[in-house]
Amino acid sequence: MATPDFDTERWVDNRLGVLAPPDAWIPDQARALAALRNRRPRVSRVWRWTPVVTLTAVLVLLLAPVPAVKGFAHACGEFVRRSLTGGSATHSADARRALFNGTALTSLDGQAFNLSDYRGKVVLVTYWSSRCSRCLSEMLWFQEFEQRYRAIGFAVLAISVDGSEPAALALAPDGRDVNGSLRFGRTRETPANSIPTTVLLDRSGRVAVRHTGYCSKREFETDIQALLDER
Amino acid sequence: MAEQAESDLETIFIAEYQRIARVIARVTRDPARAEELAVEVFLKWTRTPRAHGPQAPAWLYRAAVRVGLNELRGGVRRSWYERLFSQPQGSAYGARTPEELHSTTEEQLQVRTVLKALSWRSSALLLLRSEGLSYLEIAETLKLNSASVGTFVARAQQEFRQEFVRRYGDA
Repeated sequence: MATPDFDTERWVDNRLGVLAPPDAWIPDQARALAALRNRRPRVSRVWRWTPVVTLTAVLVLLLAPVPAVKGFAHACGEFVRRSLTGGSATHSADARRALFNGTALTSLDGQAFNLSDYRGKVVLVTYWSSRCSRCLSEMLWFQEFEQRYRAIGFAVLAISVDGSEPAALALAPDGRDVNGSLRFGRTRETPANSIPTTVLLDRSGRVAVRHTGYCSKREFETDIQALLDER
Repeated sequence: MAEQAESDLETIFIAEYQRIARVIARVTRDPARAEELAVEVFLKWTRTPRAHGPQAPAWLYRAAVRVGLNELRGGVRRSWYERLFSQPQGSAYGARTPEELHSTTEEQLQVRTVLKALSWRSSALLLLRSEGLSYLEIAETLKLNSASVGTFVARAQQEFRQEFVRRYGDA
């Protein structure tokens, strides 16, 4: 252990010595202990917050079933999720819709999709990846929509953007999912900057809505219903 | 359980309060403020369960030094202190005549300024050392290797001297 130079040590001690409180000064222990006891909370922090937390929980449980509150909470949740994930939807007016270019789309075995087969139907084309968990949860919604609206002319094309060996092959070797509702395919080129990207085509095969990033189930369903109602 | 906590507090308070208050008083130089801050330190200790047990004294000293140096660096009450120490209370620190009082106050200001200019660890080492803590106690308080404390203290003393001389000359 290094020993400080004696002169320096003494010199510093002398200097610091001027800060020493006088020996005669004795801190008032009794007064300080009383002050400490006064400032300490009578009940622990946990117990202090218990009534507040309980009351809040009861209020939430009572108000949750009220439709207005439920709707507001849902809207807030959607707003937060969309703000965090940067999702957006672009709607095109009927006169401005452009024909969807599906030349890059193929079935899983590499055959070109003939989109004209879908004319007269509202088609949801979703670009997804097996690495995107949000895509997989959206897929369940699309499956539900397909089953609900199939009879009135609705179809879903799930286009995998995975590399050479799309996960869709494992999911659906015959190009259809287990319930036979989603039609799987792949694309030869990167279709969008954001995954998932979902395009809704009207009955004439034109792009009516483009959803990028996170969009809620309700938004999708509203758009699908609006397109199905178009004649 | 609450009674046990209360008794622990009382035991450690009686054992350490005066030394803790003195450590803080070295930096703040205001006895009333030092007592106030020492109570704050104990209050914080009651809210920090991991500081309880055998490590309590070391934790208290560390908190006291931190509180004292923050007070010194904050300079919030500095002008108030200056006014306070320009009064005859300064005589409690050993000065008897107005000249001695002036000289002591001047010297205290210089030392405080230099302590403020040093790193937190150096200032803490010097304060604890001048309060009479052993190297082992300092090592426990500042969480340093006890074999290196002597080196750190020597280095802090060198830094103090250099900074003091640079600012005020080798008077």
